[in-house]
Amino acid sequence: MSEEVRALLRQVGEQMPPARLTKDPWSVGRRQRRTARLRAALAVLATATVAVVGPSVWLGADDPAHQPATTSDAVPRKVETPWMWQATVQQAPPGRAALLLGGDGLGLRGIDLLDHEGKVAVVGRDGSYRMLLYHGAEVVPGEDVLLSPDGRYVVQSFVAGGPKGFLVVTDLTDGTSRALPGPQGRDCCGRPVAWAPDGRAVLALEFPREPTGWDSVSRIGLLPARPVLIDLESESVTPLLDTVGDVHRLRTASLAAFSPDGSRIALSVGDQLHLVDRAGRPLWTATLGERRHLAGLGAFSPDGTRIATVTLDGCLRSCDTAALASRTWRVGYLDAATGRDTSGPAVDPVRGMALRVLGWRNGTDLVALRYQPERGAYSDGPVGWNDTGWWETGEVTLIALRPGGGTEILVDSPGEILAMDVSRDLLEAGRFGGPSRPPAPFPARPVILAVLVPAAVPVIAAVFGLLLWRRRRRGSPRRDAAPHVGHP
Amino acid sequence: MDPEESFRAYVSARIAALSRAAFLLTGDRQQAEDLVQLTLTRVARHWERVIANGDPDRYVRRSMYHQHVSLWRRRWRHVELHAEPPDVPVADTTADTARAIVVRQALARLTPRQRAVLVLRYFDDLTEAEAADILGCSISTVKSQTRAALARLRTLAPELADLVTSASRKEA
Repeated sequence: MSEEVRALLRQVGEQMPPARLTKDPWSVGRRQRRTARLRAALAVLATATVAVVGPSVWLGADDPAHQPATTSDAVPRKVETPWMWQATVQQAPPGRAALLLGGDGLGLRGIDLLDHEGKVAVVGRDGSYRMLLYHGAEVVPGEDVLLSPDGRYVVQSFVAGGPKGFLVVTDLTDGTSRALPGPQGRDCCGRPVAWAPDGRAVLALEFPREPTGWDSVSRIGLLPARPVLIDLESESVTPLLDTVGDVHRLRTASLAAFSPDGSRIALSVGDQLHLVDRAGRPLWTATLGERRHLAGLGAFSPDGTRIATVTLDGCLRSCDTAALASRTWRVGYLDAATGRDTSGPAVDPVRGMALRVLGWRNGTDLVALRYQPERGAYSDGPVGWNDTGWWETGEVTLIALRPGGGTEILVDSPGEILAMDVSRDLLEAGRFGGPSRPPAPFPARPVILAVLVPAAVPVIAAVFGLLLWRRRRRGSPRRDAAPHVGHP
Repeated sequence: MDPEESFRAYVSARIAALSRAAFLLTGDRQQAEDLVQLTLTRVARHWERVIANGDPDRYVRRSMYHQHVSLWRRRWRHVELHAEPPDVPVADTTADTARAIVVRQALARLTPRQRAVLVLRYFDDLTEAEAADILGCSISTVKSQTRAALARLRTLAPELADLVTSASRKEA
């Protein structure tokens, strides 16, 4: 511990005299406690009512979550923030999903003491909303939690209530989760990067539990991440490269991309892009520089001949919020056979903090996420800053970039949504603009009591008041009549 | 000692330290007082359970840091943002005071969780594991937040770079 920094903080802290308590915390706290207990008692009554009446009303046969997917499946044109108490995938499986949503607000990030600080909303192909919960950590769908190409599974490092594994795969059709072992059967320290296009393998990063060295500047422990390919059927693990860098310092938007046939994988290592085959054999390496990156998981063109890149025009170091928001990204291409620059469909430059390409719509349009910075965001530089991180992002928009110019917003989303993942089959088939409906409040998780209880208090207090008033009215004549009994 | 007596004794003994920690977290006296008031009120609600678990400091710290971070994320307070830290009138220009002001301004531009991590690790002198327990996150999150906070401090207050770098080195 540095005595100097301690002394500095102490010096700042000593500017603060002991707080003046305007109200006696003991009296106020105990009063709140009595009120809370009364509310809890009343909530039991309210919950009992809901439990009796609710199922027949809200869990009726018309629950669309159980309807089979049809050929009219589509990504909804509009999404909303789910209810804070939205049911989990494990409670009521939504079936195959169209979208994953992550973000802020009570619906997408609760409070650990009461709820889960990390949440991801699964938007089913019928528009239903279900939740995946990740206590204690903010998670980013599309980067930390990945939807399989057919929308049936998600893969993540862990999920609340799921088994412990190197990675955990959750089936959205039945809510079950399966642990995937890592190299040498490890059950720790994996991070998913991308699904193989056929959905039968997952590219992941493996990193050690304990630091292997120390950063020369920050003196923080280093956790070198190694890319590995995990076959879901055989559970075999194939290392692809020695390392792609410290796991906490990676630019997650540009980690890797599979070729459309799944035979080749582009991997970012610092300012270089490596193309390897599924056995990890190197095919070529290209140096992109610090302003140019692999465009994202969907960077390979549909015919597999080009790899899209994004190049930053704008602020790279010491960027305040306005500078981050006014960055511009140009899309370029590398020849997938040689790694050299090549031409490709020209799309308009995109203004935003970051641009991450998810895939190609109908084989022609680039589908991408455009990121805007969180209010107050400030980047010192590319090291230690993540263009698409949860804390850095203030808003995200799913867009399509048409060759020759033109940008289209594909999903109308509220500002609280900070990350998305889209089912690849719907994306490539161009199935956007589907019907949307607001999240249904039921079925719900038990955390709904935290809302129901305060809401029920006024009603139940009124009922209690009425009962007391009637009791007094009934009691009054008897008390009045009592003296006459003893004095006939 | 009955619960009320023990609570009042605890408040009397710890209010100065809690106030200083709250000030480092919020950067504002009024908000620090509000945070202390709110925290102690919440603690009073569960005081018997808090003291039954042993050291009340752990629960109180956790309550204070969680409340601060979560309220900030929900835009409970509307902070006026500046591209650069606003000028603050300085009456005393001695080196220590000036340095304290630099630190305070730099702290104000960190995220709430980064501030919380610095306060827990450097002011309250907790281990990474203890800080992770209080913040309800993993040790690696504490490490990454500490790294980010120190890096940010170095940028925001270059005059402190030597101290902050030295802190990182010694910490390692």
